Amino acid sequence: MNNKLKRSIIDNYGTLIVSDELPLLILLYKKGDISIELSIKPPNIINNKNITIGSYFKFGFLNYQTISNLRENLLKKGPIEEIQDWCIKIMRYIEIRYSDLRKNENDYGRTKLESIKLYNQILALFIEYFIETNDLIFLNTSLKIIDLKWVHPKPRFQAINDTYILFELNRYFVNKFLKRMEND
Amino acid sequence: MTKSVVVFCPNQYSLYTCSICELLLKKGYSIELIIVKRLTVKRFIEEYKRDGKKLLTKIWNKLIYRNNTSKNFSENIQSFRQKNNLNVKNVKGFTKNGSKILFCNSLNDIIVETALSQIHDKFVVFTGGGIIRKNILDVSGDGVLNCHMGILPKFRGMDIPSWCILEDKINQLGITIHFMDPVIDTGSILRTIPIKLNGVENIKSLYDKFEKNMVEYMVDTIEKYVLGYIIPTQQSKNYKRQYFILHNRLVKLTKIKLNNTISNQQIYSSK
Repeated sequence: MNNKLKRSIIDNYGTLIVSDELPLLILLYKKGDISIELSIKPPNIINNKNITIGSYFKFGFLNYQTISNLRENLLKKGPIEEIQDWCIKIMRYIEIRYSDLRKNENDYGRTKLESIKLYNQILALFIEYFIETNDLIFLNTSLKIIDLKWVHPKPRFQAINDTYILFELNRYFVNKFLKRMEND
Repeated sequence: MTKSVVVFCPNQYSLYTCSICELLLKKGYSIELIIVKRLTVKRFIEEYKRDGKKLLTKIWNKLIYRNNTSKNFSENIQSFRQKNNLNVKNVKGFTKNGSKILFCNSLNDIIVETALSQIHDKFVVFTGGGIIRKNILDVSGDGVLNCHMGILPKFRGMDIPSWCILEDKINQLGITIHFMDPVIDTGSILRTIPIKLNGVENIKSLYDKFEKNMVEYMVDTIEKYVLGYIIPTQQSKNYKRQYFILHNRLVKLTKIKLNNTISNQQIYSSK
């Protein structure tokens, strides 16, 4: 993990735990090894809101909170069928419309910031789903999302600081998994 | 043989299409119509958006350097063509056998729909050219036959041989001949054929082996289907997963895994 990312996480630790964009630190907790690198004590309490999953309707209606709720459900309940359905439907949308994703974001009327937040949540969801299931199709789509330059949050915007850390951490995880697989 | 055969073709130079058509003719079938998707700039742009740089490799291998098959590897379409004395390299060559050729920009065009609806008691053989929409499937007689590079229903989607290697499922490599339906790779199955890794030396030769087997088994299955020896069976709807084109970093990993598998097999067989 690069020092810049380490510094960002340690400096923002207090806000990251309560950020609505993150069950980020729960992920750190699940993958115990990263917390050692950061010398932090990962939280072991998950937000106790009881959020229902509901049914997927249309990609245009999604926002980052919907995905964040899904991530919380994934962490609490594991990869249950409802979550699998959501993940597969979102993945299909991204894969099939990959070359038009940015254009579609404009058509859906989402602002640039909303799109960045949404796609970073989806990226985190796919990585967490991959961690839970070892299903490589989600790692594959994650790599493709990382390739989309317009999805990269810029650290200079204070408003998306959490997203920036989330993105860098996701990228770090993806590289780590790939290296591990190459060595196996 | 009462049924008319119509062939969907990705481009007029497709060796896969030419080989299937020539074999069918040799077995006494008459090909009523070959519908060819035109090579246009618009098509190139659309496919480049979808496949990226892979498209350039595909064009180089399939259209420009057409003899590019793995060295020292005999299980490819070229050797299969030589062995079966197949010589036609352009679908236009089939006009002398009485086949009509229809060029279109998309296989879902209205001209294709009209042409198909004028032919009675038929089935369509799909050899490439993109997703087929419901309007075309509805006028395709028995249906549109496709050979999929994976065992259905478990392996739907794209790049399946590579995915099987990546997921350590080499014993599940294979092809499926099935009727197409509006949802990708979910139509009734006629036959599944496992493909062994024997003799494969790299990813390229793996795909070469698939292509050769696809021609062979597609024609064999058509024959058995027409004679009534094979009856299509519905697919299980339980499999929701679908595979998509592999990202470059996973392609690299697949190559490493395949090399390891091949060298392990060699060590095992030498013992």
